[in-house]
Formats: sequence, structure tokens, C-alpha cells
Amino acid sequence: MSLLEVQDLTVRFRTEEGPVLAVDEASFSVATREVVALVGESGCGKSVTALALTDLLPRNASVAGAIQLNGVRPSPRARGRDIAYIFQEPMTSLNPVLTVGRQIGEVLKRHQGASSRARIIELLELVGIPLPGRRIGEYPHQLSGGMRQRVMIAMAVACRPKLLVADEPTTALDVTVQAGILDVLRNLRDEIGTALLLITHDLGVVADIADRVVVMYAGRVIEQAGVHRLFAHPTHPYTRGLLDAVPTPGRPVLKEIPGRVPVMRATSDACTFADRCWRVTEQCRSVRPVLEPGPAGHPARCWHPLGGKE
Amino acid sequence: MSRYVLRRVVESAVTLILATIVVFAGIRALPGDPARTLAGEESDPATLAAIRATYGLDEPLPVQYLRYVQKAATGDLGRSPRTGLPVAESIGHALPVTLQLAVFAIAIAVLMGIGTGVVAAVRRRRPAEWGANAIALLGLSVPNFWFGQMAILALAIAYPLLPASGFVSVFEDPVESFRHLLMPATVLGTGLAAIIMRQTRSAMLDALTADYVRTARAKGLSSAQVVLGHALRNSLIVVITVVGLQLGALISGAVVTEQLFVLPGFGKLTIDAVFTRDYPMIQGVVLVTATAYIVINLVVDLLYSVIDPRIRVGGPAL
Amino acid sequence: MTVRRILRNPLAMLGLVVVFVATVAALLAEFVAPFPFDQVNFSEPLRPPSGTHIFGTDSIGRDQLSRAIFGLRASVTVGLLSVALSLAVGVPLGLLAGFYGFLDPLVSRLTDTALAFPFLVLAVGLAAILGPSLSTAVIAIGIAQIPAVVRVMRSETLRLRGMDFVAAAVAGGAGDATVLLRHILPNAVSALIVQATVAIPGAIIGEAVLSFLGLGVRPPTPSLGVMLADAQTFVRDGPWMAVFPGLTIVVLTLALNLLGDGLRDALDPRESRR
Repeated sequence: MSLLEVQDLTVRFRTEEGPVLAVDEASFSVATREVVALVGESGCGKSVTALALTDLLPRNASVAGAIQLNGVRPSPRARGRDIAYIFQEPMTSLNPVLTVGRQIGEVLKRHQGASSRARIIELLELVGIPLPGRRIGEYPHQLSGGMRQRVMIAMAVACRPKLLVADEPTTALDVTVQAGILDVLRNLRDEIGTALLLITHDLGVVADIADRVVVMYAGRVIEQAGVHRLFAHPTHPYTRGLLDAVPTPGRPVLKEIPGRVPVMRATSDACTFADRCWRVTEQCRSVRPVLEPGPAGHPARCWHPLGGKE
Repeated sequence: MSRYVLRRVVESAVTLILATIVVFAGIRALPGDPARTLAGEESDPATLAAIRATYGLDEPLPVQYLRYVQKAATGDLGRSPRTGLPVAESIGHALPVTLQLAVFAIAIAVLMGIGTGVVAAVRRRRPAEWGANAIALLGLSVPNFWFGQMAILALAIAYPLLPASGFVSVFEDPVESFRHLLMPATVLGTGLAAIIMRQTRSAMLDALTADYVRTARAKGLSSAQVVLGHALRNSLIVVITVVGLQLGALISGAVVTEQLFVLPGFGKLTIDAVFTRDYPMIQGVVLVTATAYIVINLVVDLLYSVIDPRIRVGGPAL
Repeated sequence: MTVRRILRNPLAMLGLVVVFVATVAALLAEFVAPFPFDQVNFSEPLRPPSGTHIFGTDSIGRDQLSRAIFGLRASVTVGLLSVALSLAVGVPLGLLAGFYGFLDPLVSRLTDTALAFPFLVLAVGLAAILGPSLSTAVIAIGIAQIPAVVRVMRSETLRLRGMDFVAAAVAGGAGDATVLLRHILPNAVSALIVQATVAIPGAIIGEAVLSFLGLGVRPPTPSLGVMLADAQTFVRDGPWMAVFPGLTIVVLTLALNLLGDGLRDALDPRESRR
């Protein structure tokens, strides 16, 4: 049985410009100790999906669908204890007026009733922060971006969560720092057995760390597969487009997917990628594709999957 | 850190010197001959000459100014011709009254202002926010002396619950002191409360959408911990600055409030001095107020740097 | 766009109407008021509000409504003149401090010094020197508001000085005076208007406070503050003497604040989404 099971998750926002359908019946799962990458361009509903897991969305959002962690719906109390988060901006995601130690200790106190200096130092060591005894009393602005992100991670894993949700954890960091953070995340699985839901648009990061990939586009899950299979046999044209946009040594010219992610107002009876797709047909514009196994054997949501008979 | 403190101290010192020049020049700008003013209406040339010699009025102005500053620095603010007492002594008697009133008023303002400000920000677009906003708008639009008159009318005359005038020190009889100061302190505090409320609300609205608040929620903290421990804690930095900036308004308000509730404080001393043409007293009162204002503002600024670690322990200026 | 935003804001419109009516009444007090402000009637002292005397009468039988209408004249005069004074001094200082960096510390110390004298303490000092009068009130309130104007104008100048169109004007050979008066000042107008909408109701309350304490407008000139001071003696026998002049001030300042909030929202849409 999987650790996290998401079934038909739908998220709507009421905004001043009208309703927005951010996530449209998304289903996926994460197994114990598994690293799953949720990928797509910005605006695809990845972050909204992540925040919806523990009801962290703003008040103007309404969430439908089933979310189960070990078979039960996670309570707000599960935040930080069973499901923990790491966000993109380590600069702004830490409270500027509280010390690093205080911000980590807070989680321990909340979920385990007590925190100790020794335990906080242990956590800082776990995420590879040098001189933890000194860092514990410092404020976020005294740390570098990479160190701040390590503090975020220490905070997130303080209570040994079953699932760690990392929303673009390396995007705001320098490339050299990125590798260090990814190492820390990889070690966590080995040391404390945490599963990781990694949200990113960076396929390099995905190839580096993920076991399985879930591709989202305009609020829908459009393809999912093991990481090697997906990179070898992309089935949905959008996935193919994403892979083509990654710079590789043999092929210096990047192919960008023309157009941009549409803002969905309501669910539609069309493929949401139709307007940007080079394989589009009348069927794509009138009938909603279903997520079903494609030519390569893994599920994709496309009427004209790649890799089949052309 | 120490450079910042040093700069603020030097700035405050310059301001203080300028303020003493203004006060000194102000008294020299009085219509007529200062010696004649000091001597009273009828005085013969011999008396005038004697006064000039005693007060050094026959010396050049810069010398007079330095002498004035030197005396003021040692606590000699001259003698009131009306009471015959040293000005410093009268001020010393009046100051505790005003301080007790001001501290009480600030406490009321901070409690009301921060409380309603937080409610207005958290209960966004609900009746609680509209109510809090309406109260703040009224607080800014109602002159505090009229609010005081109405309070006396309601709570001292129509329903005699509280005394309309008089002062009892908190150190003598805390209960009676509370009864006597409750109305004046509330009257003095409401205007400040309205300003604190507006600032708290807008700072809280910013803070509540900040990334670190999302982090705090994601950590599983309770709403109270998120709102009070994270969002409010950051907002307080702004609020403290506002209280510091409103200090002048508070002093002005104290003058009116003391006049209205017949409290023998600093403000009443000031107004009485104007109507009895007690110039040394006015000069002393103005100088002490300006000095207090500059010093307290310096303290608030330094306090601000203690509360905000970004200023306290260096790092990039934000 | 700005005008339309104001027109669509019912509270701001209410404020505008009240301010307009009050200003007209103040200007045309001789024609609007039912009685002359100084008409004494010893047969009708301390009458509670009635059909003839809507606000009641005072201890010597003067009609309180008429006195309040004439009193508005002092409120409006002081409100406008003191704000004009603060702008006349504060705008040039703010422009210079923001544009010429070497003047900044000097201007900062001057405004700090002005701030060190709280409004009422300043008024006390001025009343001691000049004697209490309407001009004293205008000067005291005006000086007290200068630092805020300097601060707004200085930060606007700093902001605008860095913008492309100013840089373009400088590159085009425009002199400092041209840049300051033709490019920076006109673009700072909306910030100054916002500042004025806060300052005017403040000045009106300031006039009432000073006149109440006897430091501003002196009897027999009618002023709402003077009326409230007169009411002090008769709080028990004629509470309406205190109630109505005060309400008049509250309605006027509330209307100005509503109008000011509306203007602020219209001129600064970023803030208005709050």
C-alpha cells in the first residue's frame, strides 16, 4: 500500500477576475521511502497540489477529492509531524526576527512536547550545517542562502515526518549549492526513511534524485512513470516538449514549447494542451482525454501518444 | 551596531543644541525689554540696571546663551516670578502626574490598538473588521478634549461613577489612583489607539501573507502561535516606531487632558504659565519637553534596533 | 480614472458633500445662520434645543447653531491656511533635501528640531510671544505640520530623481530648477494631496484645541473651540452647549477623513487593495 494516496483532487479559487480551476481531478500516490517528482511549468498546479495536501491554501480556495496518508485523511495537526514542507525562498520563508534555534525548537515543542538544545544541534548536523552550536543562536539574515535552506530542511525533518514535500527547494540557489541540498535530501531518505514529494520544473534535478515522475499540465496529471522510463519514452507531447527544452551537451539548441500555460476557469471537454500541441486534432478539442496506459506501457493523458504507430 | 548608535547619539545631540537655541531665541523674541518683563510693570531705571547686571542681560547674546545652557545643564531653570519657587522644582512636582497619566494612556492605547488591529487583519472582510475600522476612524475624527467633556458628562454627571477631576498618585492609593486616572487616560489613549490600530492592521495584513507565516502554518503551529508568535511579532517593530513618532501628539494630548480633568501635571503648569505670563516657567517647560522628546526618541530608536535583529546584528540593511 | 474611483466610493462622496456644505455655510454664514452670532437675548438663557434654537442657547441667550456656523469659518480658515503654510515651507525644503544630498543632514536636523516641540508646546511658546489669536493658531499648526510635508516631499524627490524621465531631462541639458519644478514637483502632487487630506482635519481639530485652551481664536470671534470652552462652566445646566459644537467638529473631520481615505485609495491603487 502506498504512503500517500491522492484521488481526484480538485482545487478551485475564487478571485476578483473570476473562478480559477487550479487542479482538475489529479490522482497520484507516493510509496514509503519513495522520491516522487511532480513536474511541469509554473502555473501547472504543482504547488497548489502540494499545499492542498494539508489544507495550507488561502481562504479563497475550495478543495475536493480524497487525500489519505497511511489510509487516513491528514489532520491539520499532521502538518510538520507527518507531512513536512520545504519552500522555494529560504530568504523569506524563515521568520527574520526569530533565531534559527527558536524556529526549529518550535516544531519539536509543538509535536513532541519538548525541545532541547542538544536535539536542535543534532538536527543542524544532520543537514550538514557546520558549527551548529554557534548557528543555533543566529538569525536567518546572518546565513547564506544554502545554509538557510538547510535550516528549512532541519525544521521540516525535526519530527521525522513520513512525507517531506519540497517545493522547488533548489530553484533560488546557485548551482553549486543546489548539489549540496540535493545530497542532504537524498541522505534523509537513507537516514530517517522519509518519502519525498519533490516539486520542480528542473528536469536535471528530477533525473538526479527521483524514482518516479508525475507530470502536470494546466491542473491535470498528464503522464506518470518511473524516471528512466519517462526520460527514455516520453508519451505525452508536453512531456516530450519539456525534455526537449533541457540543455544537453550533444544538442546545444533549446527547443521551447511555444505558447504558455492557460488559466483554466472551469473544467473543459478538451485536452488542455491542445492549443500548444503540434499533434492536435478535432478529437483533442472536443473530447477530454483519459489517463490510460500508452504505447510504452505507462499512463498518459493523450489521444495521440508518442511512440505508437505513426 | 555601535556605529549606528554613535550616529544616532550625535544626531540627537545636534538636535538638542538647535532646540536650546530656539528656546533661548524665543524668549529673546518676546516683545519689550526682558529686564522690564522680569521686573514687572513699574520699575525705575536703577532696578532695571540691577536686573540686567544680575541676569547678565548686558552681555553679548552668545555669552548669554552659553550661560543659559550651562545653568540649564545643572538643573537651574531660573525662578518663577509668580510663585517665587525655582522652575525646576515646580516641574519636578508636576512631572510624576503627567508620567503616570501617560504610562496609563499608552498602556490603554497599546492594548486597544494592537487588539483591534489584529482582529481587523485576521477577520478580513467580516463585520469584526468593519467595526474595528469604524472605531479607528472615529478615534481619528473625535477631538480628545470633546471626548473628555462627553465622558465627564456621562460618567461623572449623568451617572456619577468616576471622579471628574483631581489626582491621586498610584504610589499612595492604587485603587483611587485608578479611579481618578481611568477617564483621563482613556481620553488621552484613544487617539493613539486609533493610529496604532491602523498601523497594526496594515502590518499584520502584510505579515499574514508572508512566506514565513506559510512556513509557520506548514510546521503545524496553532493559529494562535502563527498569528501572535510569528505575524504579530514582526508587526510589532512597525508599531513601536509609530508609538515613538506619536510621542509629540501624546504630550500635546496630555496638556489638554490635564486642563480638562484638572490634573496638577506638566500640561496644566504650561497653560497656567501662559496666562500668568510666567516666562521663566514657559521657557523651562518648553526646554524640558523638547529635551525629553529628543531623549525618548533616541531611546525608542535604540530599542527598535534591539527588537529587530537585522539592525542589531549587522547584516544587510533592509 | 481617479475621479471615477472617487465617484464610485459612496463614503467618499458622502464626505465630499458634507465638506462642501460645511464650507459653503462657513463662507456664507451671514446668510445661512438664523441669528447673528453675537445677538444676546437675556430672556432666553440656557434654553435646550428647540424648533427656534436647534442647538439651544448659551448662558446669555445666543443661538448656538448660528455661532457654530460662524465658528466653522474659523475652522475652515485655519485648516486651509495652516496647511498652505506647511506646504509653502515644507515643499521647497523637501525638494532640496531630496535633490541635493549635501543638504539632507541639515534639513533632517531642522525637521528633527521642529518635531522636538510638540504642537501644543509650540503653540504655548508662540502664544507667549505673539499673544493668542487666529494667526498664532495658523502659525503653530502650520509649523507643527512642516516635518511631515518635508518627509513626504523628500522621499518623493528621491524616488522620482531615479526615474528614467528625470534622467532623460538631465541628459537633455535641463537645469536643476527645470528638473525640480517641471519634472519632479508635478509628479509629487498626488503624494502631497494625500498628505494634505490627513493634515486638514488635523488642523481643524488643532484650531479647536487651541481655542478651547484660550491659545487660539479669542472671543468674541466665534469658534467651535471657544464654544466648547464656554460650555465647561455650564456642563450641568446646559450640556447641549458642549454636545453640539463638538458634534459639528466630529461630523466635519469625519467627512474630511472619509474623503481623504477615498482620495488616497483613488490616487494610490496599490494601497487601496488593502
